[in-house]
Amino acid sequence: MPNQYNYIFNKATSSYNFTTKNNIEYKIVFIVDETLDVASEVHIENIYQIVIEKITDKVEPFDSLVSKTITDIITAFFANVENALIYVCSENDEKAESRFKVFSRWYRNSSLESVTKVDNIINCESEGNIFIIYTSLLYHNKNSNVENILEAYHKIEKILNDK
Amino acid sequence: MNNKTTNKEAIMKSITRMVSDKAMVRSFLKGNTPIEKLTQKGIKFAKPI
Repeated sequence: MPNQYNYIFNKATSSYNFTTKNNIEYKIVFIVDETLDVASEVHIENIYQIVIEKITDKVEPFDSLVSKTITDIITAFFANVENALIYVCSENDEKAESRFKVFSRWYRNSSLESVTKVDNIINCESEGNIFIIYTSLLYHNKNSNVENILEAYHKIEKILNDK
Repeated sequence: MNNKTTNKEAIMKSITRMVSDKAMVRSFLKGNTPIEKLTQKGIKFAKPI
């Protein structure tokens, strides 16, 4: 009995793909994220945003191997301790808060002991509309640039939530 | 005061972009948006593993 699904890198979509026993396909992508640069005095490298997408529309029965596979991918990501990861959910997506909670639960149950997660919930105002953006930042405890990363990350929250 | 406003505007713009980038990538993964649109928008895929 495997304890996770095998995943493969698809060059065409630049995604890490796996399919579950219920024939549900998942794709995971990392994109370069320069958001922290805007709030930082110095250029911050190795910041990526992760996008985890269930491609198949049908409802999937609970499958613990999905979160284990995601843990495996993120563990591989942090083989480079200088990497940091941003996960974002916007209220534009109606399921933002529940996605954010699922991600937090995944982290709590994961075995990522050398990776720390911090959260920012940001109130944004755009074109007269106020909406909430849920974000999480994951970094390796041995990241040599953690002070700059955290300073920029918290500065974003402070400036945007400042009245 | 001006610096504060500029800062806030720049960060807001960046956050908005972060959110819209994700939406576009999700659409791309589902086959609803061509890769060219992502390239035009400056979205850079990474292979960190």
